[in-house]
Amino acid sequence: MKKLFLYCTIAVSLVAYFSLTLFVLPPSFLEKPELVPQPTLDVNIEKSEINLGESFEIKITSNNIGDPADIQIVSIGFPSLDKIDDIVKITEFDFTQSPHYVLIGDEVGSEYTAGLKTVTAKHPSIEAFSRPVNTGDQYHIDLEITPDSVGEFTIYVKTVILPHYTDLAHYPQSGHLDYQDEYVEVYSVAVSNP
Amino acid sequence: MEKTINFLTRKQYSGLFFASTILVSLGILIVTIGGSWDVTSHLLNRPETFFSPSHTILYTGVAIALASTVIKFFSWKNLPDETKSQHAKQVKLAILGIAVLVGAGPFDFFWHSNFGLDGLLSPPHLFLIFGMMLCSTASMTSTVRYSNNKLISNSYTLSHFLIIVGLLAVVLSTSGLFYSLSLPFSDTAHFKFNPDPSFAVAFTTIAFPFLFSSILCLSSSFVNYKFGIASIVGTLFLIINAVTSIVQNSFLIPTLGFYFFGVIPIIIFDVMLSNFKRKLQYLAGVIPGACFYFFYFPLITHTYNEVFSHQIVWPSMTALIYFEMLEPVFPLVVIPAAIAGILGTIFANKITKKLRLI
Repeated sequence: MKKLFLYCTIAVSLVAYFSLTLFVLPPSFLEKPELVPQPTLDVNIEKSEINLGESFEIKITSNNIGDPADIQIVSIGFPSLDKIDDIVKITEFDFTQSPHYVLIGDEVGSEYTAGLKTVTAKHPSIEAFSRPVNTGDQYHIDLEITPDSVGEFTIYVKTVILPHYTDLAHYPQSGHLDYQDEYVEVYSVAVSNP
Repeated sequence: MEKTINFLTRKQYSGLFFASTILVSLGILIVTIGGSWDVTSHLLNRPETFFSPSHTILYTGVAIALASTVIKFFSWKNLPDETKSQHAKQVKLAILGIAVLVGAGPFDFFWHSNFGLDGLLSPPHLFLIFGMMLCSTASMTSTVRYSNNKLISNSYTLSHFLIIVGLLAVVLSTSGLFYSLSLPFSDTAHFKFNPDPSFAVAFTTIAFPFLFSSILCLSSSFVNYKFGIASIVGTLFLIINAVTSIVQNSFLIPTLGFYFFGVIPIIIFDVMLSNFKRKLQYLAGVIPGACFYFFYFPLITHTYNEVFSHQIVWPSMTALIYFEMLEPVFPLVVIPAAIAGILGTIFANKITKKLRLI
């Protein structure tokens, strides 16, 4: 009798366990609403005109005003340059990961696919990133730039949050498209002979 | 009064030998916890230097294991001849294991310095895991042999609870090896060490259920099928995995309730063995085998994803991908996993017999 009771208890417990783990609980995780993170950028350039040989500073602040996400990348591109060398210096940053330098010819992700589609980099850039990024998280990166030629010194700035499921996951959401087929904000500083 | 040799009596050396053996296991257990945390932190925030908190825990464990192995060796040398010869093989294995483990530290530092971020399966990591497995297995068998008479007694003693440390060190270090051979975390800029996805899925489906079933069965058979120890070992395994792999990822915290339901089949297994002993042992082995897909959440998501889902497993998406794969994967793996579970109990039986006979 005791054994029969034990057999029944074991059988019922196993049925209950597999029912819970296979049928009852999984739907609650599958039905969860998708997270909608939303990055923004605040870009501040101290000067719009400089003389050749002078430097200017660019201060960039990223923010996530949406749901938490896995990673936020801020990309600062330099279409006027072939290489970064000493022209661009990072003076300060508080992103959780070390900035990554992209050189011309590097393989980089495109169309916000996190590397599933790739293109070859056509100009150098600096990518600052943090992971994870919670709602309201702000990160900063400051650069000191000393152009080495006269003319317009152009800077592309954009940010993307991954995983990228909606248009809200990148900033800006319209405007100029760069070689990665991703929207960028365009800033420029006029460099003239002294 | 007992004669003293080099400051201590034979009895005191004997106690010291037992204590240091347990401490070796404890050291390895700490190494495995640090290692598991390290894998998760690589997944979440890519530690960029050798000096990360998880590495600190890991090498603290190495230091404990190293100091304990030294004490173990000197206390073993002063044991009575008969006891000394009984433990000779285990002591030699533990020394070899700790030598490999300690050597893996500078090797890992060299690897990080030269190749940057390393993958899960790398030569220094293999050294580390191999050393851990040697140390933990040698210490667990020493503990069982040393306290055999106490373990098979009808009432609970301290030895029953100390064996838990040894068993956990073995299951976690072996799980570490199995993870390195199956998770797709080993491709780096310099080396492509990721296993073939189909091999990884087949290996995971057989190896993890075999291991978990073996350890639960050993937890029960080492203590003469007394109820409780297998349940504690299984539950502590779940707690350690939850702390190192689930809680670290805030997106997975809602899955904790689901994960801890895993205690139910572990207790059922323990009840079956304690009530029916070897009569239903093989049938009982089916249970932990068939449930391995739940016990090894969340990391196995990455292995099965390579074949069944092909998505980027972002930390925020891990649970979703895991549960999406449940329907196609579970019916495919449950039978081979259950068979592996039975084989695990057969293996555990052989180990138990061997340790008792010698």
